[in-house]
Amino acid sequence: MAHFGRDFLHFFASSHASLPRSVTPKFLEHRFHATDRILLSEERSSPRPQFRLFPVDISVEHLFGTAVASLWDMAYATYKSVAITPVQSSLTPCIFDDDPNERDSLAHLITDMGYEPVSTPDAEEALRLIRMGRCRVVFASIHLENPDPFDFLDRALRCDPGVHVNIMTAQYTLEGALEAIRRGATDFLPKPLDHVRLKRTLDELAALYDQRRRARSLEEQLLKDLEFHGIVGKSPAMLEVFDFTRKVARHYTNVLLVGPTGAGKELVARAIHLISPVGQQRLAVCNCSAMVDTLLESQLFGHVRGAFTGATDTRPGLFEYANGGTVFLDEVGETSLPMQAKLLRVIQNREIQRVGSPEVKQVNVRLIAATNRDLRAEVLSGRFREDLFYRLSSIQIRIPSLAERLEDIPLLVRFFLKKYNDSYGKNIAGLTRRAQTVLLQHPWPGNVRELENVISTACITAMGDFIDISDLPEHLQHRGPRIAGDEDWRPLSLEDVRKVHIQKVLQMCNGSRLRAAQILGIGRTSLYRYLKRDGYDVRPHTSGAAA
Amino acid sequence: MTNLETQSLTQTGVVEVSGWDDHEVFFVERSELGWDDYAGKHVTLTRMLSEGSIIFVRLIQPMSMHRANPIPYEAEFIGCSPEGNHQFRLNGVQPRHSRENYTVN
Repeated sequence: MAHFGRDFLHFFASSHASLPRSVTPKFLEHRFHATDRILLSEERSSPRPQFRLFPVDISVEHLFGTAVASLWDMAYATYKSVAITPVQSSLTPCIFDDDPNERDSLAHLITDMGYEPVSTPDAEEALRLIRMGRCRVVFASIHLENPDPFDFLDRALRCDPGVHVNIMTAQYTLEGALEAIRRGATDFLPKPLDHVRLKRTLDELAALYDQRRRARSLEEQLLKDLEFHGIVGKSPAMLEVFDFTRKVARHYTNVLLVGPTGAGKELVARAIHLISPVGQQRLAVCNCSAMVDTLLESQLFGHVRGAFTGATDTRPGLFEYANGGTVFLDEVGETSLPMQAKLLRVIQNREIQRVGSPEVKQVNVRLIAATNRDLRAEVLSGRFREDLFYRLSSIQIRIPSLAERLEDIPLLVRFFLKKYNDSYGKNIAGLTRRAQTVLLQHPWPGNVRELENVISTACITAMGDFIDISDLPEHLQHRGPRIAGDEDWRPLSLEDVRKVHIQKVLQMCNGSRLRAAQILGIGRTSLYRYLKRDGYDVRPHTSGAAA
Repeated sequence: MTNLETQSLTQTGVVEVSGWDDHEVFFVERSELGWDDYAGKHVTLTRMLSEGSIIFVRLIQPMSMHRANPIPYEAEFIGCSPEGNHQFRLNGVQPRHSRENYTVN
């Protein structure tokens, strides 16, 4: 830092024949000292200093020549790399040492390095500062002869798993260092402290926090860029959904959304409606599984007074309400066959009849239906009308499960953190690495809805700046690593696992090799190569079926 | 359509309840949000929940342009309905704010 720059100038000035040795170093030192912070903090485009030797300003080139000026630039760059930055000044190291002299001496040293330390002889006070998020870097002095010398380290990491604890000791041993690192210490520093090493440690941590802040800022920007009408995703599967949604929204009359519960079908339906030419018109949402047939019929088509017991007034249905706009029928696969016939009539003839009324009304609505069932199988089993199925599925969008797009989890976590930080008035910055690992290993049977609930719960319980495992719902805290298809597990070779997996993905994609390759995370050429190796016909086909 | 008609359509107490049951299995159920002097705000679910479970209740609003957010509640078991379903009182949950406001490193 400053010493380096001063020493450097001292060397060149004192070795330069044209300047009096007795005057120059002090003069230059003064000039440098007076300008160093200003020069560095203001990020001047030309950092070479101007020296006021005489009534005129003289540049470093004039004083020492071009070569020296270049060396100046190098020295400046070195100095700049350790210059005081806003991050450095906000990094508050905590010094925990029972020796008052050593504590004060270290505090002065760290202050000279441009940081603002807090020091304490009391372990409980240090832990309190860590727990409150006041200090993220700790220099803790320990005595290895104590019965449990790493007790403070363990407790500090329990308070905040993200804290950087540097252990200092006068009894350095390799075993002690390894044990400290194994338990989670950032570094193990022998006393007396090596100042260069101490500075490097602090600077590296300051740079790390700076890097994390920038990463968080970039993630927030990325989140904005990758948000599609409240849906977040960057996986190929989701990008395909966004792309297809944009295309069909302008032209559709009926769309079928297929996907598991909690995958985001309603959000996609809302996005389709908003982008569509009737986006300014009404959208009515009806969950078909939430009510019995009679109530569903009344809700969708309306009723007249006296149509049934309790019908004390005449009410319009959702089709009338959303006339000119869109009706979203969630869980359409749950409807009874008689109700399906009524829905078919709306689609085919665009007409409805209120319950108890002979009057037929024309409606002009777009229909978005969603189901988590395999409607084709439902048709085959006779539980769903084939004609309605074909009417609804002229355009079909499949929403992938969260397990198929695990790479979206960090983005979704950031999205929900922002949402619940705002809702609960919190300022949680993220998840600890071990909490992130737990989320990535969970199978997510409830899909994005379950992830949202997990983050919401964690935001309620977390008291720190980061969500740790202990803030997650209890069952996630004790769950072991996920083993896909554990119940059907057999000791197959990797080659066989690959073969079976590719076939399953192809089946799931209805034979679309492009989509299968995207989900598998490989190129289409690679997929063809694997299929060929497995003995399948990979010639181009017209039906779109798998090999 | 009159405002009165529109209003009557929106007054449904259908909610979507999600959370983890007593077997730690994630569930989503549709239910009717009820309120009375004895139980306060309550829902009826087919499954049992662990004591103090947090569940998320989302109002299903057929005519809202915006999707309602799920609201967290602590579920308190009241009793079983004649049909064998489980009734839970919904107690509001307050986020924990114990840390003082310090500048975070």
